[in-house]
Amino acid sequence: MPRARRRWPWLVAALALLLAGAALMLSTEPALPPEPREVKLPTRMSAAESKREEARRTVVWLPPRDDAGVPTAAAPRPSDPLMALMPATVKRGAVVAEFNAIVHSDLGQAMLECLFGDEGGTLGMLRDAGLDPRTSLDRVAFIDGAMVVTGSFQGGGWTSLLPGQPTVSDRGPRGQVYQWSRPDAGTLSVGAWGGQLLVMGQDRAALEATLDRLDSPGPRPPGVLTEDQAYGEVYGVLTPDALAEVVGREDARLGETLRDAARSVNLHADVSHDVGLVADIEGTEPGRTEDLRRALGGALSLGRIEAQARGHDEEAQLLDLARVTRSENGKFRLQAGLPYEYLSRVFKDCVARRQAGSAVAGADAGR
Amino acid sequence: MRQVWRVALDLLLEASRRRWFVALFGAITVVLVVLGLSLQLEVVDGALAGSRLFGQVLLKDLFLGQTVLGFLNFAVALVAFHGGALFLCVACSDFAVELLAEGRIEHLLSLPVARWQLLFGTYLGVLALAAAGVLYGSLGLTLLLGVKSGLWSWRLAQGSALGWVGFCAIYAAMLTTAFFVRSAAASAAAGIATLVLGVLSSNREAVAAAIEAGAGRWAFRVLVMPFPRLGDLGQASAYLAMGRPFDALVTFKLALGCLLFSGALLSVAAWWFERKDF
Repeated sequence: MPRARRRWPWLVAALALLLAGAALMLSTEPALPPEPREVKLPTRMSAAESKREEARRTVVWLPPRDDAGVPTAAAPRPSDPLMALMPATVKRGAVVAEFNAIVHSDLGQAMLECLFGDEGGTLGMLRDAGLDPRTSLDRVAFIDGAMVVTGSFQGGGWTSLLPGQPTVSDRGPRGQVYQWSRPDAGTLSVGAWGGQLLVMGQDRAALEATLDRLDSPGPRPPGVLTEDQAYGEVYGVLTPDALAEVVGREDARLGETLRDAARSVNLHADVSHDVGLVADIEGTEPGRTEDLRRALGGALSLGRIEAQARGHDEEAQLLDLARVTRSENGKFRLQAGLPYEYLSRVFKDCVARRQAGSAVAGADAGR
Repeated sequence: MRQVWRVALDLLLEASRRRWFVALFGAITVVLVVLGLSLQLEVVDGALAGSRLFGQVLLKDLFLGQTVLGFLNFAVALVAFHGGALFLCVACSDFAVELLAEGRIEHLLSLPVARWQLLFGTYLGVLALAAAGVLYGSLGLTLLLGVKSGLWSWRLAQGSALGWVGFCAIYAAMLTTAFFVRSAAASAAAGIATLVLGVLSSNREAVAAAIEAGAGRWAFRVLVMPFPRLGDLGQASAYLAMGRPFDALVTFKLALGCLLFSGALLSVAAWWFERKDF
């Protein structure tokens, strides 16, 4: 009887040779940077954010009344003052940053040092005025040209941040307008409401109109941002023009497409550890929305390939975290992420640059 | 091992009887003649002439002639590496299929030779044939460029040796395919696919960047990772032909990787061959 030929050693040899060859060839290549982690993306309001928003509903609306002053309906639900003063439309955008949440995030300390320097600089000056960014400021919002800051402003210590003595006049039951004279004969007006909200960057008439929205009877028509959109640490709406201006600096054609095809851009960013950004883009019509979606997706892919080809592995990995989802009902979503490690390094560099700048300025002053 | 060499020698004798040498060398000669007649070497020739003229006065210009020839060798070596591999894929696709044809295979199996010796002997025989073709082609090109330019360099022949190492991996895939599917077309297709995947393997990360992160990208990386880095090997061959410094250790590892890949595929072919009834 012939001896049966053993065949399995050939397969074992094949596998061993294949693995040895792959390992040998891999040893000639530079090590790949580790794959970036998945970044948390703000896609809906969390229970904690819902509770936070509920606590902020401090504007109590009077119920609508008839001519005899008798209420005709139940009083509407109280509102968040920041959301209540949002206009129905914006020319460029309205973006809210949860300042307090951001400075208490993992990146907060590094970010504060990057923005304000050490204790002796801007940070110390703000503290002297009773405005400790870590405790007094809650949110900072930019609504077109105006800046709105919410937090604890009882006592009016913040007025010492501006030179001179302001004139103060009441506006409504809880509002005041502070006005400073400027050296160029103009005036600077700041509105305050209920010791919890400051409005800057508007002329007096616009400022009064803004404060009136908070103290007039009955709820206002919904603004561009509402309470149910207040999730993430940064949120808001941008007009296509504003976004096209930013994008157009890098890619003029993409900026133009964005301006033509987008109707509104709704932003949410989570900065609790990493930074995760979600932008919901609504198009003017389904066909153009799809074109815009493809153009953005193509730009991201191209950027990723270019970064890889130039050997910018970290940039390629960051672009890897950016995705464009399929469009539905004339809308699509752009997601992007910046890992904690990357941002931490960016802020550390920023602090180092700031310290180096201070040292040079100190040496120049000493001469 | 002696039996393996005997099978290889037998294949070469068989190739000689069947006039495969004539066909292969005839085809290479046609390519060389076409290149010799069609290459526009005036620009190179002008630069070289200038170099020779002024080189007598200016030492730095002596360098120019070698530089121009180096760039030419670089381009020729790169084209020859990939073009030559494609050419050999087609030219050698029929050899194994013919040897495995009914009648001949039964005769070979009746000889006191183990099946794996037949397989490896066939592989070495075809590689010897390909080596002769590569040597003939590279020497022909060296001669062609030398006569046209007046400058002689053996670097093109040295670079083509790496091309032959790359073909070792390609032919292993072709021979293995021929053992599974007795078809010259399938064998050639497997060779071309190995060449393409080998080039992709060298540019794995650049291509992976175009694939969305996740299972697709992971699958792509795993699929192409075992393939020999033929793109890198081609580049090393071009650098060698050009005279530009290159990492000899890395190139050695890439060449060894090609041979290990070939060994792996031939082991699969041996496993299949051992269990097949004729």
